[in-house]
Amino acid sequence: MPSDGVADEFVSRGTLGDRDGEALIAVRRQRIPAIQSRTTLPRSLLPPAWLVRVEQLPPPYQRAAVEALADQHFDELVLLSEADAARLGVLFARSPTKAVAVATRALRRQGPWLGAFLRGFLSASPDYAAVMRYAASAWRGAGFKADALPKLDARDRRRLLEELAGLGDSNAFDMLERELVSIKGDPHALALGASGFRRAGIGCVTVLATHEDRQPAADVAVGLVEGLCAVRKYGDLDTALAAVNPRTVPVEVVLAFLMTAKRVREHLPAYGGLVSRLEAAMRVRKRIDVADIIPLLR
Amino acid sequence: MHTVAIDTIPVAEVLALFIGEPSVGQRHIGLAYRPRRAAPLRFLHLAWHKNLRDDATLGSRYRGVMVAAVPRALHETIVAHCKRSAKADLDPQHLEYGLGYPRATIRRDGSTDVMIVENASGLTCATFVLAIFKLAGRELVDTVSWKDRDGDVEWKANVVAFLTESLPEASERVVKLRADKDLVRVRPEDVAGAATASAHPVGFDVATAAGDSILSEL
Repeated sequence: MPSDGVADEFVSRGTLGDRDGEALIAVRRQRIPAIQSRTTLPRSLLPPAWLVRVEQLPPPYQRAAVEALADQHFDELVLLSEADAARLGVLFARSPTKAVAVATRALRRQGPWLGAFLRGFLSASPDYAAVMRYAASAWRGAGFKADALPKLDARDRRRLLEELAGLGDSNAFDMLERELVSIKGDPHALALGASGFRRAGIGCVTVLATHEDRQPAADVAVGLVEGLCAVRKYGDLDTALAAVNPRTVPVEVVLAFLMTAKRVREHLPAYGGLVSRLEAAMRVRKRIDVADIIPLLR
Repeated sequence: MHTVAIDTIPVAEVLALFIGEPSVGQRHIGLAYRPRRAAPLRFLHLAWHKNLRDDATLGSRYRGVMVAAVPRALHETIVAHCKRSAKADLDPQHLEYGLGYPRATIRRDGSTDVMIVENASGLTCATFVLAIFKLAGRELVDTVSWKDRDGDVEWKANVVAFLTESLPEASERVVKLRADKDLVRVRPEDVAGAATASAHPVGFDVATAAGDSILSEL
């Protein structure tokens, strides 16, 4: 009988629960509209000079500088415009521990820029699980009780996941895929979910495709095709294929789209065009495997 | 040489097969893949009925087989499908061990992403590997050209007897398993041999010739 004789080990990947997501949504809800910021905080129209100076430093020195200046200029931080707060978040992504401390202090003061700060942080460090931990930690650190968190509705959760996935967080993309295929009996919700999933997936692939490791982008490409096929949203899948640019996306990732979509290509007018664009891009790059690969796709 | 020591599989290679003879006359095959660039290999294989494994280590009796014939640029796609199976098909265990691959349809469930095997009583370790390639868009072997060899009829009879010994005679699974006994067997070494060939899908003669060479190296 079949037998393996190998050691027993399987490590499953853990994910954070919804409560942490609620913390981030909660702090984001404290943002005030940009127009209100400009009306009440005119001095924030110009970024503080120290923030500009820190941005001009070479990256290895930015962390120390921003950490030193954050305490010194904390009152100014609370007066930052949303745009400047987002710039600050980008800098603080180099120093997550300090970012939590600053976010905690700001939450105690109900700082209106905190959502923008976290958005900037996310754009520089798009890691869903980590940012959820930071947000939850700041929430608790500011003395708020867990049961005081606003409830996270499905729409907010989906938008948060779409935003994170679009920034290159493949964990968030996986969660979006699970949410998409679980939508039952609501055509409007399914249409919304599929289009958001498609946009987030293309964004995620675009970010991950710049990495040296092709695997994460290929995983997301396969997930995007499988997810849209599972809910039979071939129009969204066709739009996604049309958006893939083989001149900038690595061959391995374009192939992940095409090989997985091949079985439903009769529903996808954009399939043939993407194959042709891939072939042209491979010839430009003088890839010697073009003759092996292109026939597999037709 | 068609095989390599597992620990000599280059870090740059994200996909290989592994094959071994864990007991006399009993071969076993699975997929070795790197979930991320330069990460340690993981070993995905159907060990037995409802016992899919995604292991971090492998016994010393196994050898690696490089997947030479599928273009290298496709390996990430195949690895993506390995990862999806490791996520969806392990918990709960649901993949049935069985026969009948030549007429099977392989797909993933739209809601749960689990691998669905239709028109066949299940998969073997060898046909599980074929199923992963199929999900990634590649048929590794041309089963139309396959033939049974000495020992295959007895092997299939033993498998069916073992799998059905505690089941009611008239159960649907017993009926399906017995019906699939008449279909050809694709052996582990056939799949390993096909992976080393130069054009796909690989026919019986090419795959079995390469498979015999691989067996001689175990």
